[in-house]
Amino acid sequence: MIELEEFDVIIIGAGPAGMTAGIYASRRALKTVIIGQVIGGQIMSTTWIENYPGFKQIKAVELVKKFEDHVRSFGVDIIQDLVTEIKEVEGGFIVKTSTNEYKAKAVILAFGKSPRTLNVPGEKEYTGKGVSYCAVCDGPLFRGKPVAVVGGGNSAFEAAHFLSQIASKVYLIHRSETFRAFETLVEDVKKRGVEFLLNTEVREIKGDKFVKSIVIENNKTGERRELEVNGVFIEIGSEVKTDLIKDLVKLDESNHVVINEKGETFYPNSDKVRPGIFAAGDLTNVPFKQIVVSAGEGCKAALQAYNYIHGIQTKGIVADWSAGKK
Amino acid sequence: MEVILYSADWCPWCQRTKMFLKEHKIKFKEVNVDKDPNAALELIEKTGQMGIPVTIVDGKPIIGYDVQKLKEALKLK
Repeated sequence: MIELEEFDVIIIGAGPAGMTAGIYASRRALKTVIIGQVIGGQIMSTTWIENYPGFKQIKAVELVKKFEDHVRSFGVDIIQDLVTEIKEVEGGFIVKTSTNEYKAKAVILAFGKSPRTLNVPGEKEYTGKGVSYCAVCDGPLFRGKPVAVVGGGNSAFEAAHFLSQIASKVYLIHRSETFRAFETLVEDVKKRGVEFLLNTEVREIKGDKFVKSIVIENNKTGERRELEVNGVFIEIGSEVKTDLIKDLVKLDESNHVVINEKGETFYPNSDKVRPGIFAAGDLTNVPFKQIVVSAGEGCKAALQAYNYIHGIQTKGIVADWSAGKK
Repeated sequence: MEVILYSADWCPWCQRTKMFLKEHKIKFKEVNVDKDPNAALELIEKTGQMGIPVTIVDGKPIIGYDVQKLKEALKLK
């Protein structure tokens, strides 16, 4: 049997929470690895960051690069892979990915939120072939083509605004008749000739090699019709993907991982702390989804993982001034 | 080694891939699909995907910013 590579800590997720956890864990001399599909996480879908201390204005891509360089400078590897299973075994956890298996004494969950999907026929099949969850990423490939944006929030309207400069025609499909987006943004998008299809839901995405059309239904009248579009941009918010963790840790009613002030998790439907599994960032029940909050949470989870591995009990307020020591 | 990067000004992962190539001192030709619609069509045809960035290393496409795959294709450590 091949020996699995064994770590002290495996951090799942490579956004601000995961990368900060990586920095703190490695500086505590824990053998650490980060496994994540998207280096940078959700911030990579924005352009400018203007609220991270020390940087009055910085491009998201540059801030992410600084995080990544910082993490790697401590010898922490970031493996770009999809984690498919976390299994508890004697002495720790086995983390399976789509290509490999790893073992660790502790796991930090920091994989944030993923774009919410429509769950209609054709969506999965045509992802990357006309179905997209990031207008600024893939939009330029739809020059001169008709596209649809699905959603009614700011991100949907921003996508419609961006695409109206590129596509031949933009439809905005929204299941109700009121929007969560800022009024000024709605007005601006309206002025740009974007056609609003309200009380309307997408039922199917069709095509051959690429998307050719969508089937839409008016949810008031029940009327169905087919709309010719080559692109479908889905902007209906984000959610925590729970498949990996729902049997491992306690989730709240909105599927966020419940943590305590030290970043510890709980057993499902219980108030008993789950030893060895910690969580940080957007996937937790901590309010305010911000880079600086996620980074702070990542730090706490890593320091508590260190305490757990070394059997240190913490009670009350603990000052940690050891940052300079490696 | 011939390296071609298909990208666009707005796309964050394209910028990230560009940083990666520059950091590893890889010479590459950049094709801006936003400014060259024909190149966009060519790319879609070649990869069967409607997404960028795509880095083509000696004819083989790497879709997205994928450090492992880029390092492998570019024979970097």
